[in-house]
Amino acid sequence: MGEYKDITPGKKRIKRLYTAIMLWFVGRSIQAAAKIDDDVKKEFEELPDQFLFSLGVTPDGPRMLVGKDVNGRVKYLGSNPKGRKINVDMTIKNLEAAILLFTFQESTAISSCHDRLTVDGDIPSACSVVRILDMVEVYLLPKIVAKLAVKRYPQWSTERKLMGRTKIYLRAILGF
Amino acid sequence: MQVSSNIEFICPVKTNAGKKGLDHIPIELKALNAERPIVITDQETANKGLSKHMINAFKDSGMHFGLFEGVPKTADVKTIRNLSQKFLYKGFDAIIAMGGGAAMDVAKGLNMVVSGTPEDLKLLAGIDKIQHRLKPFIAVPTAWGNGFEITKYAFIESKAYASHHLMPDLVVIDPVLFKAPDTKLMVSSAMIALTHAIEACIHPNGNEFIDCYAHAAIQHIKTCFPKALTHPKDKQANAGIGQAAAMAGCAFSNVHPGMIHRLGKAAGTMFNISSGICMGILLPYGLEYKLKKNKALVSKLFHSIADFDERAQTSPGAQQQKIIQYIKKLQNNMADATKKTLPLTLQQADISKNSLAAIAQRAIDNGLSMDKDECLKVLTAAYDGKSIA
Repeated sequence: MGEYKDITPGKKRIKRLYTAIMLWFVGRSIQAAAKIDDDVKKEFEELPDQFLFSLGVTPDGPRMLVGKDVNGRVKYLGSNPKGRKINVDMTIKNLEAAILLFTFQESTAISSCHDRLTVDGDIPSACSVVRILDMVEVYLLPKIVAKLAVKRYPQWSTERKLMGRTKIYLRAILGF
Repeated sequence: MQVSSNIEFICPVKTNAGKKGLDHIPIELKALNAERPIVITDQETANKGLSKHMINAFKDSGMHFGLFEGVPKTADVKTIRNLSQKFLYKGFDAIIAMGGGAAMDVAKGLNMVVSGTPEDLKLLAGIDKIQHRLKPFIAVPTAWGNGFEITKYAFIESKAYASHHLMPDLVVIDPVLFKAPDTKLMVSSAMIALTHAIEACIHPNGNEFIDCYAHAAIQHIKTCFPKALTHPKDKQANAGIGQAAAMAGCAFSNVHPGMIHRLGKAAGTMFNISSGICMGILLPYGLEYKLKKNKALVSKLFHSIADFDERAQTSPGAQQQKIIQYIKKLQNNMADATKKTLPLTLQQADISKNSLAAIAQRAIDNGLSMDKDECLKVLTAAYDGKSIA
């Protein structure tokens, strides 16, 4: 049995860090977009109060939680799901799938078609979450990249895109 | 279309094919209630450095595994015994086989032993002797398969095992493992897949479920194989053949092996030639024989081979000729891709005319229910490279 080895696979630290930063930034951007964009606001209004969704990588990978408080305000709630009741839990099956998603090689829709995502929770709410994520990606990314990341690139006015992008970046970085 | 009144079909295999397919293995293992697998690969796979892709797939999964890279060219009892001791001592709970036929056969043998007793290997030889579910088993084929990876069959030394419990729970076909394979090995895999799919498609016990897998496998080969021959480094085209082999394996597991398979396997084993190459040589002549005997099969097979335009443009009388022409054209493409080193007749494969009777006898002994003289007709045609008289 000379050819036998016990293997302890290592960690993908850089990919993990990249995914964690992306999730952190997207989480804060959702919070910002819910304040400045009417369509995002409307999507959240249709979700129940104290609605909480999570997007993360299994097992024990980076995660983001975004939810509505009792007053209907949308908040980025960090990465620790312990003790929280999650309504829609979107889990990316592995770190490589998360990298494909967050380097925009695959859109959310294609990623779920390729069986890289699992969704636990109410399907209409999950669809709302995907629409919110798509809108936030349109704000965050230049058109050439966003086209790869979303299912259909929307016909928004330049003013909406540029003003919204500036405000969302500022709010996401400064955290308000 | 004729609708079957009684249908039996089994395919317990989940398939995960495509980019980053290997990275799904940890989560799939969890779904199978396993967390400590042993990975078995053959030396060819190890020499090509493909084990690193498996190690990468487990990074960040929190799982540890054992890696055995010493599967010999043909599966043997000694390797299985040694591996079973290691499996039980180290507390493994699942088997992952990566590579070609021998690695899969060893994994299937190991699964029989560790799911029962060591004596099982002797007792379970034959057809449908396994009565219980085995340990979780994941098959990760590479480009140098023997076409039996995803089937219910295992061949260990001189014994054959057949049971749907031997089929893997999951098949992972990742293009990264199909980088620039040896053309002859790839041709062999494709020909076994095509033979299995065609024979499943025209089998008298076939049904609509089997046809689904067989038709899809034939169409996959039709699309991917010419591309893989002209662009050997095209990972997607090579992986397409892997997918076709998996589909053909599922179809083939639901029927008894046919004449071309039996004769090809017998010739390959007796003359130490790849069975796939022999099946490829025999395919047009075997089909000619079968289609002449049963004209009803012509239209069915033509529908699975031809695309919509070809179907519209071909009269029923010309369909048989078109099928044979398609196979022969494929053979010529293969010969061109291998710089004419690929034999197109049994004579070119250095098989003597005197041994054709022995090949026929061997195939009959292995379960081919066909008259010896009829077998000889097919073998003689394949020897001379001429149509059946």
